Amino acid sequence: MDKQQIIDTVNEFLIEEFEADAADLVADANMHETLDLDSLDYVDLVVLIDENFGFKTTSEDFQTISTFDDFYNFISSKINA
Amino acid sequence: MGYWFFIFFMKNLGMGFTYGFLHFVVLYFFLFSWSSSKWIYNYYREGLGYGRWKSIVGIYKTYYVFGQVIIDKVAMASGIKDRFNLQHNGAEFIRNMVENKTGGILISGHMGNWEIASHLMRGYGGVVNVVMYDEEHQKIKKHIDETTGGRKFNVIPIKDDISHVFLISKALLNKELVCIHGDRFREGMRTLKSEFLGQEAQFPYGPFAIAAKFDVPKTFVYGFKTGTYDYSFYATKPIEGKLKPELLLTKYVDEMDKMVRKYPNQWFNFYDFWKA
Repeated sequence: MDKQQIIDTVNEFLIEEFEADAADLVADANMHETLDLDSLDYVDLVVLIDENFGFKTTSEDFQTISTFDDFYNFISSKINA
Repeated sequence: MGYWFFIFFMKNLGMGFTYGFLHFVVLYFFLFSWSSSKWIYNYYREGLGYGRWKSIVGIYKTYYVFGQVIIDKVAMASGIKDRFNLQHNGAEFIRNMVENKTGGILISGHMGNWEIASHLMRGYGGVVNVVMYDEEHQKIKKHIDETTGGRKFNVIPIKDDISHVFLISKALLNKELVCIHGDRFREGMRTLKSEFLGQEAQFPYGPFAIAAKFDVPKTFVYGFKTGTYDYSFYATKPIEGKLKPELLLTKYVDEMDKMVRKYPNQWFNFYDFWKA
């Protein structure tokens, strides 16, 4: 799966489940602040990743993710390893 | 220190003697622990509508059963579980979750002895994860682990770094069983409100929100002491599919209401449960 496919899949989920505005999903925008994530929102992200990309994430994984681009790159590194 | 005494009595003098000695401890709490007794009294008087004297007697009974349940937990963990008779009500629902590899969420409360469920589930071969405020019980846990060889289920500790959210999610995605209490929360946590025993109470949002997000069977489980060495385990017919946290809470509260009326002395929330 190339990076654009990852971006499209993730953004579609974020728009639908988090009611995010597509215009806010900018690569260098802070993901946590833009989506106003609380602890339970991470459950949705964990399920998103498992169902769409086939791997499980940990709290440590998200410590390295700040922007949307970090998130896309993280997923890409896992599935294209 | 108190736990050391009971473990010593249990192993060397037997369960009967241990239960008997418990009365001295219960009497102390009954006479001097007003900080918890007043809320137990309130539960009987305001919640269940008992008269004044029946509520006072209820305080003693609650402390005594609570003490017995703690003794029984240690006894079971020590391998003395064969001494106990366990009646199953709905245990097949749990077995199906394991055998069908669906996993499931088991929501319980601080009533009776929910840990007996873990002994049942061990027999089915499933991986059991119990979500709890582990750091609150470190000293007791350490002592029990040293004397009994430890608990026979995984503990997912609730921490400020939200790592428990990931561990719960991973367990459910791995089709494991996750047990969580739905009747307590910490200051600052998001809550849901529902009427319970005639008054509005708050319940933790987290367990019901997490349960709502996963399409796994959800059941409410309880274990109640029904005799000196007798327990009844209950598991409700599983709720399938995803549903809103508020609806799940309503079902949970309805079931809890039924259970406290059936086993009124085994409600173990010794604080102002209905505090706004």
